[in-house]
Amino acid sequence: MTKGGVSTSNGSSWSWTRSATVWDDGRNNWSEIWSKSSWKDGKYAPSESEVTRGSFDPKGTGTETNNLPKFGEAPRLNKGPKGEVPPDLVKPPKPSDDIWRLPTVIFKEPKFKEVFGSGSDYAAGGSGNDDVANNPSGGSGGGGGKPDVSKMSFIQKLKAAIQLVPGLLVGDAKAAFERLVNDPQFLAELIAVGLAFAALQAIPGVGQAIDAILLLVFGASAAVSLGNFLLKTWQAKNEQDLSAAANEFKNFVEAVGVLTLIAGLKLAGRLLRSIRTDRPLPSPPPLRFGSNDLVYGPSAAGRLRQLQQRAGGKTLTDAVSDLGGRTWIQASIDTMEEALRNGHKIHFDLTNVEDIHGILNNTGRFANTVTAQELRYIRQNWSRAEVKNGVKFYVNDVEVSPPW
Amino acid sequence: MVSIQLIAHDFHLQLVDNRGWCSVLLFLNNRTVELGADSKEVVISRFLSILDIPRFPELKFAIEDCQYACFILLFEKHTFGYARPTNSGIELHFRNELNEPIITVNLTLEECELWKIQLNQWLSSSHE
Repeated sequence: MTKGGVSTSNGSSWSWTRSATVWDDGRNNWSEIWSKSSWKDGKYAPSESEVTRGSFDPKGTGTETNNLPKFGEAPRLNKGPKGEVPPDLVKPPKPSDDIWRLPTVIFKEPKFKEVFGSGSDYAAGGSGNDDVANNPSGGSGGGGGKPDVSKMSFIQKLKAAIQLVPGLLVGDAKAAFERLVNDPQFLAELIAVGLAFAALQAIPGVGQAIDAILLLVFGASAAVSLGNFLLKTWQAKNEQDLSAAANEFKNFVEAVGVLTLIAGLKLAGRLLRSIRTDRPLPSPPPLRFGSNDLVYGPSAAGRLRQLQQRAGGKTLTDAVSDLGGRTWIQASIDTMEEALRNGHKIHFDLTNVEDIHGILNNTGRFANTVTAQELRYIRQNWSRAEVKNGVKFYVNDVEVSPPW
Repeated sequence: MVSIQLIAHDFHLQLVDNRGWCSVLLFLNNRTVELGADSKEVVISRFLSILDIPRFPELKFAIEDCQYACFILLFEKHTFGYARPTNSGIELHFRNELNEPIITVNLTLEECELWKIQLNQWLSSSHE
């Protein structure tokens, strides 16, 4: 609402999740989680939440908890816990009477710290209260032993789950993601984006809009995996739950590709920093290449040429004036080597490279393209200092790590 | 998409401009050869560089006992374009990414002049 040039907003969101598991031997357990958060003029009120859980073992092992049925009764899935589970899904959860009231206005450019907690500075690379980023256990382990997942905050669980992901990946994706999760900047951006995503998901209307965008951008499989990852992380009570959440994130990474994920997170990280500082989203610093630097990558209907015209440098077609009896790829390799010998850079645009894993493994329909051969040549020579220092990779004008 | 046709006595080139990205196709008899693509400005400037005979680029490269100037490299099909002056005009010779000959065609001096006018007009139209 805007009145006299002053904007105000307020709202609340709530969530209620009920889940249960029944094993073949008759054991079952269940849990309910509800939470409510409210905000006004960009400030969040203290959130409310409650978790109830119970279990049943027909063998009477003594491990049953909370409101147990009598021995031999039907599993909890068929009979709600006594007096605590609402008989239908529309009964307002406790304790606030207004929890079902829809927010009047969803957002008023919330300030990052007010929304995401005091002192946290994940999007800025961890310069603030960064104990979570540096301590996945959140200090709950007391300096030894395994952390108690049930006592972790959502952020701590996010980080812990993400750090399990490299162990689930294989090949080039594993190596790339392993390097990424050891990069505090990347991890900070990933957590900030996950946190913002989860917060927005809870807002009626906004959540659905985000889901629709995710479906469009990533496709159904990736969008579902990402949603499952956040939900499972939120609900995780033990390490097995975290592993299950990590597996969903692995599916997401495999669906969208590591390179796309990196570029997307860098962009989202900048967006979150701009929210936190109340400044408009800054444009990425324009790329500037040396006049004799090489600009490589798929021509992509002119997009490589546009990059060269924007940032400078030369494409192979500008740099080579003759085959001299060589094939195109040999001329390309010779030109790269000459540039590196002379101290020039090679800027490799990966934005329009399709099936990067196939290319690097010399498989798939793009394996024999000129770009594929150039990329594999660079990887084969990556141990050479002049290659490692002289070749840069980009996705959407953002510098990224090598794709291997 | 906008295209122009550069006509010669026994072949013609078609330049197809798709939002600044210009594809080059060569038609000879019943044969169509896709030569590749680059930005419109680059394609035009490369062809103009060989149409002004008095300022023809240096003939550095020998192909089958003739000296040529390499005047264009095209994306997508990875084609190299060579040219050399002849008694009646210029000869164009294209080779593929494996350095194999694709096609050789000839332009008269009059055709060179016509192409130059057409290309300059097309270039200036994109600046308007």
